Amino acid sequence: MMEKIKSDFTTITLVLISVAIVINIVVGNIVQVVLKLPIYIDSIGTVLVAVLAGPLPGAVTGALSNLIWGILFANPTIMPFAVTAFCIGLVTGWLASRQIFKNILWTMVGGIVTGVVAATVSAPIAAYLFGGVTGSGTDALVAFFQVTGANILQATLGQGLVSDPLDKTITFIVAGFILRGMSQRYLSRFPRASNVIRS
Amino acid sequence: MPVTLFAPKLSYAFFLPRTSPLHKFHPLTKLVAALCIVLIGFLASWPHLPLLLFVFLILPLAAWGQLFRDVGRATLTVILPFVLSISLVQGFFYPGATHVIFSIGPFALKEEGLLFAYRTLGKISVLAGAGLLLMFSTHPADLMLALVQRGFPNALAYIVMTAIQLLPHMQAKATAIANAQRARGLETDANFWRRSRALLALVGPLVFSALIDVNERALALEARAFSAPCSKTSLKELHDSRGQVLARWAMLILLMVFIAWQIWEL
Repeated sequence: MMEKIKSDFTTITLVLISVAIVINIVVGNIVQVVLKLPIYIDSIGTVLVAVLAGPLPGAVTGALSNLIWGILFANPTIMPFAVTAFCIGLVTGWLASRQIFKNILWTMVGGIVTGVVAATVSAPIAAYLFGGVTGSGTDALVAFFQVTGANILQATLGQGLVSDPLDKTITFIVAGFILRGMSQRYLSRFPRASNVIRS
Repeated sequence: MPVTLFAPKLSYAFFLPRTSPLHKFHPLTKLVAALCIVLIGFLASWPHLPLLLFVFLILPLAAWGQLFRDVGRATLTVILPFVLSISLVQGFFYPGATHVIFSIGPFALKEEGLLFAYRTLGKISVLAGAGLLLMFSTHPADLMLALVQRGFPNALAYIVMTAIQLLPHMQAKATAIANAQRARGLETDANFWRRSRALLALVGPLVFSALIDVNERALALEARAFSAPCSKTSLKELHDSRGQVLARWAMLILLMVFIAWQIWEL
């Protein structure tokens, strides 16, 4: 088990993780400023690592992205969602090992599945730590669900199920295109290259 | 006002060097203290404890660390959007609330909702305040070194420090790509669909060029014996003391006692 974990964390994986964290933050920040929608696209880097290096490196990328985001933008309230990002990495890595990134339709299905998982993990964090709100536009959705009779946990879950699957599907498609654009020679340097290289 | 596309100004504010005693503490002492404060704030059943912790513990500590204004201002920046959101959403729509304070049309402000908002805001200020105090008084490199010395993998320190140093470079690259695409006629101030397409024209080149760097960085690291199986010497030295070791254990025991007491009270 330890040997298998170690074989995923090669030097090139470690470098990829640090670059992927920065991709998450820079792209996530641009999307936030530009689109102002309940989608974030802040996990492209996590998905790339999970596909090329496996579930655990992907999970580490996600969790550290949130922690570093919190440090650099002086906002500790982002940090608890590192748990969500960790799970996104795990699920994506597992789905990638089922070869979903070799076919655009399966890629989309994988995005939806990951979105549902992300919403399920985020909901209790948002509900119990932050009273169901995040201080952004999606809070209107939470209010809407509460009016229809949901409790806070159900309302945050409802909000997440509206925005996360869409967000993750877009992320998966973008990541899929990027992976398709890289040369086989480049991809083959990573431990889980067989997840994307067609033989 | 047109929406300007690729100019999100990033203001990094992670470590603020001062000559205070707080800055000289061992990073682990501050980490344990911050964790204990946050957990106590969140687990307390008494609704006023979080706010009291913030005013009578976090703010004085910040003043002691010569960071009173910085921590105060940054905490406000973090919690202001929450204040508005949670007062509106939970004040008006808190599930099961009945005590109406006043109503505007079909909406009624209710007492239970406001009380819930007050408790939650207290908790969020404790999380934000304690986290910011730790981040402003401790350099991330010192914190990473302290964790590596306690058995965390070296790779963790490498990843975190590289990412922090890489971010300004990647941000500069993003701006350069945006300008280049704009020079080729990319519309950056337009309606939503145009802006979404413009986004792809930025994200594509940015991610590709970053990924191509990965290979070269890995080769450079390997050439410098990055993965050599031996213990590494650090250029930095952290100062710890008997008193701080005791203080850390004392804080952890206090936390355990507090949790046990809260469970007893249930």
